[in-house]
This record gives sequence, C-alpha cells and structure tokens, in this order.
Amino acid sequence: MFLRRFARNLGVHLFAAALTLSATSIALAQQRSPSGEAAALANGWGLLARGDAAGAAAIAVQQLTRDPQSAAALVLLVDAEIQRSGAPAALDAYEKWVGTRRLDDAHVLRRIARALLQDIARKQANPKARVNALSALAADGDAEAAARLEEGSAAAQFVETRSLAALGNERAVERLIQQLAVMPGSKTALIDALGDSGSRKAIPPLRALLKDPNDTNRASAADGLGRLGATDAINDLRPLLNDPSFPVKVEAAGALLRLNDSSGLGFLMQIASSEHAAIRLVAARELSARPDASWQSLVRSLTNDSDPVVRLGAARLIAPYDTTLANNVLDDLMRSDNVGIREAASDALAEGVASDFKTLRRLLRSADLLAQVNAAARILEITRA
Amino acid sequence: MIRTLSCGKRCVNRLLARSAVGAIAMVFLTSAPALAQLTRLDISKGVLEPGGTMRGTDVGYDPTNGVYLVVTGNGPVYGVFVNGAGNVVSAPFVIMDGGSGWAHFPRVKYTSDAGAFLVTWHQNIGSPNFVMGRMVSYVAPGFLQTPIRQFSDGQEGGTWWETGPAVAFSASSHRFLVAWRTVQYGIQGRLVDIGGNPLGGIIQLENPGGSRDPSLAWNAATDEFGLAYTGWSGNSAFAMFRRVRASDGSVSAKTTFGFGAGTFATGIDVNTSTGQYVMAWALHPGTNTAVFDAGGSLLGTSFLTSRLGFDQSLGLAFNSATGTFLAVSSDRDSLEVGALEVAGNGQPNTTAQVVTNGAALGSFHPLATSRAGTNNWNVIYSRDFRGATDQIVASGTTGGGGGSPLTGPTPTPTPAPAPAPTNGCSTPDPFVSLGGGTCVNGGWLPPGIGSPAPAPPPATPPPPPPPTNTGCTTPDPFTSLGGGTCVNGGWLPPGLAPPSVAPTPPPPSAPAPTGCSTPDPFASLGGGVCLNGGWVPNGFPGTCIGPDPFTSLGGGVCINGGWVPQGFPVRLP
Repeated sequence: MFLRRFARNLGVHLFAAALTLSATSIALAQQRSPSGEAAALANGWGLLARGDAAGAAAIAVQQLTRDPQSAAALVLLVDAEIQRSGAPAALDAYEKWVGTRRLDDAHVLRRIARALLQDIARKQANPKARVNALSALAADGDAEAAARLEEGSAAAQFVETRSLAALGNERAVERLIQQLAVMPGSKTALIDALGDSGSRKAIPPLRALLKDPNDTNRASAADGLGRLGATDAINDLRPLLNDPSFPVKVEAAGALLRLNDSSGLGFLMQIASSEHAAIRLVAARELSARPDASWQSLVRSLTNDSDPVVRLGAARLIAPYDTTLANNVLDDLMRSDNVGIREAASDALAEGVASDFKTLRRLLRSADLLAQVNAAARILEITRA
Repeated sequence: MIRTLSCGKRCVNRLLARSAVGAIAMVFLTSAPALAQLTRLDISKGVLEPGGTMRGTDVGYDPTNGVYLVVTGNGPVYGVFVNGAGNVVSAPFVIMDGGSGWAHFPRVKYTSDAGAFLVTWHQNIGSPNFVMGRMVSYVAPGFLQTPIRQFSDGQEGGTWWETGPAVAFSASSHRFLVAWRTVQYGIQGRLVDIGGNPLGGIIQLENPGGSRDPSLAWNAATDEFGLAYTGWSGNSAFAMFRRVRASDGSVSAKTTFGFGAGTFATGIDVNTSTGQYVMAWALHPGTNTAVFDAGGSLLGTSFLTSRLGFDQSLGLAFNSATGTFLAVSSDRDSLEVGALEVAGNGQPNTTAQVVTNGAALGSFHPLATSRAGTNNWNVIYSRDFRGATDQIVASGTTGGGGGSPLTGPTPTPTPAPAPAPTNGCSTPDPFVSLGGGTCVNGGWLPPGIGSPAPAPPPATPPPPPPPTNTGCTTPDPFTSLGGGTCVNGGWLPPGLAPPSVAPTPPPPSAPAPTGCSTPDPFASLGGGVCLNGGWVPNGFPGTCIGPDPFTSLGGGVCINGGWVPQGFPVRLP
C-alpha cells in the first residue's frame, strides 16, 4: 500500500515536473517569437480567470523583465495585484514600473483608481468615504454603484441621498426636501445638498428659508440659490444685503453676483479692501464668479499672506487659472508644522487642484481616507473618455 | 473592549497591555511630553433616550461620587448618572417635567461646594424663552436638590434656545456664571449661588446686534471667568473674548480677533498647568483656537482642522492628566462625532478622528468633559436626535503634548480683574468703593443689588404668561426680512415661532409595581425589595435602594435600581 502511494506520489511529482519543464520551454520559446508575449499573457489572463493571481503576476513580471515597455504585461500585473492584494499592492507594482519614467500610463492608473474606489465602497464603514467612492464610480458609469446609492437613499440614508441628488436623481432631491421640512435647528447640511443638486425643485424650499430665524440657515439658503442659478429668487435675495448677520450678507451678495445681479457688488468690493486678509479672501471667494484681472491680482496677493489658512483658500481659488501657483502654495503647506494645515492642504489637492498623476498617486496613499477617495475620483474624471 | 484609532498592531498591544491604573500611573510618572492617539474605550452607548426627538445634551463629572451626570431634553429635561466607564448607574429622572414650558439644550456644571450640579436650560414660557436651572445631586433624594429657578428676564426677545446656556463655576467665589445668547444677538449672564439662586441682576456681557454662541470657563489663577463668543460687524465676522470677575460680575474690555466669513459655535477651557485660556471657535466647517494668558492678552491663534466645527457643534474640554484638550464636533466626513486632541498650547496634537459609532442620521451637539485624575473624557452627543449617547475617549499623551506653551509680551498674568467697562454702561462704576457695582441695562446698581431676582417658582407651575407686546426702544433690526415682532421689549425675527407651550405628550404608562404576597426573605439582610411580585435582595440590579420619593405623586416605579415617576417615558439602554 505504501509502495502504491509512493508510486502515485512519484507519478504526480514527475508529472508536475514535466509540466514545469514544459512551461519553461514554452516560455523560453515564446520569448524568442513575436507571438510569444501574446501567448504568455493569454496564459496569464487564463490563470487570473481561474483565481491564480500569483501565477498571473509571475507571468506578467516575466514579460516585463523581457520587455519593460510592455503595456499589456503591465495591465496584467496590475490586475493580478488587485485581485491578489488589493489596490495598494497594485499601486506599489505600478509605481515600481513607473520608476523614473516621465509619463504615467493613464489607462493603468485608472484601473487602480477604480479598484481603490470599489474596495472602499465595499468595505469601508465610514459612510462619507463609502458614498463618495460609490458616487465617483456611478459618475463613471458604474450601474451597480448607482444602484447601491439608490438603495441607501431609499432607506433614508442622508449621505447616499445627498450624493444621488448631486448626480441629478430627482427622487433623492424630493427626499431631501422632505427631510428639510422636519429637520430641527440648523438645516445647513440639507440646504447645501439641495444647492448641489442642480434641481429646480430645490428652489422653492430654499427661497422659503431666506426668512428663517436661524441666520446660518438664511446664509446657506442664499448660497444654495446662487449655485442653483435661481434667477427667480433675486428679489428675495436682495433684502438680505441688509441682513443684520455678516455671513448672510456675504452669501447673499455672492449669490446675486452668480445670478448676474450686481446689487451686492459694492459691498463685496468694500470688504475686498478690508484690513484683514481673511476678509479679503471672503470677498475673493464671492467675487470668483467674475474672475477678471483685478480679481486674479487680489487672489495672487493672498497666496503670499502670512496666514496659512488664507494661503490655502487663495490656492483653491487660483487653481483653475494658475495650477502651478496653486500647487506650489499647497506643496509648501504640506510641509507645515501644523498637522491640521497639512491635512487641509492634502484635501485641497485631492479635491481638484491636483491634475498631475504624480501628485494624485501620492494622494492615493494619503492617511486621510477622503483624500484617497477624492484623488481616485479625480483620476477617473481626468481619464474619462 | 478597547478600540483604537489610527493605531497599528503594536499600538493595540501596547494599549491592551496597559491597564487603566497603569495608564493613569504612567500619566503621573512621566514628565517628558509624549504624544499618542486618541483611544475609544468601549462602544458608544445610548444612556438617556427617553423617546421622541431630543435637542441638546451635556455631561458633567462629580469626582466625589465618581459619576457623570448626563442631561438631555426637548419638552421635559431629563438626567441620568453614569459611571467612569460610561455605563448607567441610576434610573433616568426628570429634572423639569415640561409642565411649565418647553425646554431644550440643557447644560450642566458640577461644584463640590454643593456636592451638586447646576443644570440650566432654555424654557419657553409664553412667547419668549428664558434660562432656567436647578441643582441636581447624586446623593439627593430623587436627585433633585433645589427647586427650579429662573435666571434670565426675557429682555432682547428672550433667550436663543438653540445655543445651550453656558455655565462655569468659581471655586474661589463659590458661585456659577451662566451666560446665554438672546434672540437679538446679545450676550447676557447672571451669577448663581450654590443653592441655584440668582445673585444680583442680569449682566450685559455684549450688546445686542451681532453676537452668538457664548461659552465659559473659570480660571483659578485670577478668579475670573473667560467668556468666548463669536459675532459680526457690518464688514466682518470674528471671535471675541472677555473676562468676568467672579466676585462681582465686572466685565473686562473685549478682544476681537479671528476674522473670517463666518464664526459660530465656541468652546473654552483653562489649561491649569499654564493658567492660560484656550478657546476654540467653529468656521462651519473648520475650527480655530486662540490662547489667552490669565490676564486676557491674546498670545496666538491656530488652525485645528477643516473637518470639525459647525454652527451648532463644538465642544472643548481640558484634561489635567494629559495636559491637553479634547475638541469634539459633528464630523464633516461621517455621520459620527469627530474628535481631535489639542496640545496645551492650543495647536492640534492629532488629526480629527471618528470617535463614535452607530449613527444612521447623524450625531449632533456633542460636548465633552474630562474625568478628574484620569486621561479620560466623556463625549456626549445626540445620536439621531434620540437623546444622549456617551463615548469614553482616552489619550496617552502626557505633559501637554507637542510644542511649547505660548508666551506673550506680558507673560506674567495680570491678576487684577479689569474694572467693568460693561456694555451698556457708558459711565464709570460709581460703586467701586463699595466693592464694585453691576451694570444692568445701561445703568449701575450697587453691589448686591441687581435686577429683581425672580421668586422661586411655586409648587405648582404658574400658568404661562401671555406674550406682552410691550414697546421696543430700539429700531427693528429685521426690517430687511419683512419686519420683526416686538415682544417683551425685544425684537423677534419674522416668521419666528418660538416653540409654543406645548403640553408634554402623554407618555406611555409604565407598569405599576406589583405587590409581594409573601414575607420578605431578606429581612435579616436589611430587607429585600419587592419587584414584580417577587422578592430580590436590596441592591440587586433592577431594585431601588431607599424609599419611593414619588409616593406623594401616586408612587414611583423602580427601574434599573432607581425610582422614576409613574408614566416616565423610558426606553432603557
């Protein structure tokens, strides 16, 4: 019995050795033929399809060793690493491949970003990170992600509802309006969500809030109406230029300007010459609807202010017009002694200032989960066809 | 269970290996500053969820009995005691039953002078809201030590109910200071003795027109209260700071700083190692801090985070064991409460981290208090508006965290309290020789005499006074909004509908205790407790020690070791 088992085992081992030998011979042969890479990679993809990510990765590495420029092998390697160890491992492998190259492979980086978002959407307990990841995927055409957002919204989950509303889902907008009616006290989160929706359905409830006793609700409603392009609310917004609350006046003036009404322009120009840089920054933010030369000059001057928070805000504002300046300011702030400033600078980069893959790759490794999500979403946005 | 945040495997093992006693010992034995992450001890626990929507929570710590008092309310005001681990150790009890008005946003502060907490809240009586309060003690029968008193006078449109009435206590002058925002955006305050009675009149801490969100802390180095608040002028928003002399309520000149688009909720506490005030204020979203020396000189400001700090959400509490502060707020990036450790010099010691769990709608109005002699804070908040949920958070930091204490041009604290250039009084105090007068509504009153203190409420709640449309002496500040309404001498914004005096919704009736038909088998042990028809030893979980304090009301119900009135709507955690 022992001999029979020994013989069977020997047979298995011999058979395995023969297979290995055969595979090695095939690989060597493939290396010598033009169609060799295709055959090897086909074999790699086959292994990956059968769940052997390690085997697929080994073949990809072998091919990349032979031809470091092989984009097909790189895709296989990244997909194998995603399957084997997740997006961070794929990023490791990709960055090892990038090395000192001057150009990224946008197609491959996109796969890593999508994998990261899918991973966060599947596993992350933090609702904001999870839902932002789902939103980024839904915006990228991922039907499953959109369906999951809809499920959450139907279950009255605020974060999902807000994200769906921002994607133009009218049912989500209606749910937000319903929640607005029953939310006690500060309603700013709901108001901001309606302001992001772009839906005209949001205009009547926000107009009603312009007379809310809570000044924060009035200010947020004014801002929301401006972002919604609610020109029919101009007559309701103008009286707020005399509101006792400064934040309400500022938001009303900014909203009116976005609606092409200059009633609040004088007030904004007045505070644009404030002795306090932080107030000049407020004016610049609200005047950003008219980014003329004098506006850009104001913002550029604020990027040199001694207050890091002012520099941060100015970098956000100037980014669409001078990405280099914005990146330089934020890079400097990323070296601040203040961990809060470093975190805020990282957020700003990930939320839209950064448009180069090197910076976005760095942000994919951020300790801040939201920065990771935002960077991945930005990569999808930039590489979307 | 110990949960760690941003903490690797080695860190977890280190924390697990560290017993609570060991951690405390380490805190005191280590002199060099050390940095560590915040740690959650156990999960978030709904400790006071009476049913229905609740607005506002707070927590204070009684070191004598080793218990926290947790409060919440919306209609009635409720309380419950929890131990150092954040677990309930008393039955929930009613602090104000809602019969005399609609209450919300309670606040709490303990004093060992009375062995009790002063609990304050806003209460709608007729049209405006008033600040009310009473003393609550762990050892008082039924926990209620004094009757309910009224602290505010309804001027300036009454009190703004969405911001809890701040409280601090002076252990030198043996009195509390309570401060609140008015509907007309003024800040008022009143001293309160350890019996919960108003001392003197209303103190005008800031004129109406552009102020909000007061918070208070007491500085032992000077026997002064630090008052932090925010507000605006015609061309900017900013933060403000004043000192208030505990002995007589004299108010210092204000410092205005922290200019920005909007400034909102505040928190303040004193670093007892340096005698400096650290104040935080919300940017909606975002949080800044400022450090003041004991004499009130601004030493510096710092940005904490863009994740925390909203219009109704910010708390700050110092812990003398760690030498650091805990800042808490609703978290921008989740539905939970976020927290951040602030170094003793007001700079961020960590990034913001989620420190709670279990919210489906959101986590609102968080505040925190530290537990004396430990590196713990109890973070209290309203999870999904259900009431009060607590979460114990610990820090391994010692020596105040990173950085050096800030020093200014006048590093020596100015112990002498500033005389009172109180808002509303344009003339010098004529009663300085008598110890200093009190500025009330633009005029000086001799020491000891203020606005007439309201009489203690009678045993039966008075009927709500009808809104009195007395004249307003100031122009209507809400003309741009369509015109305000003059109520009790103050302007209300248009559309403002202060919560009406709604009767407390009839709560579900609780089962009455059933009698025991057999003799008490625990008589030889001091007597058992009859629970649902059966005898259990006294002190057994679910039994109540001591006589029923509600016999005059028809008999109470023993729930979780404590007596509550019949009909108390309790959903036990």
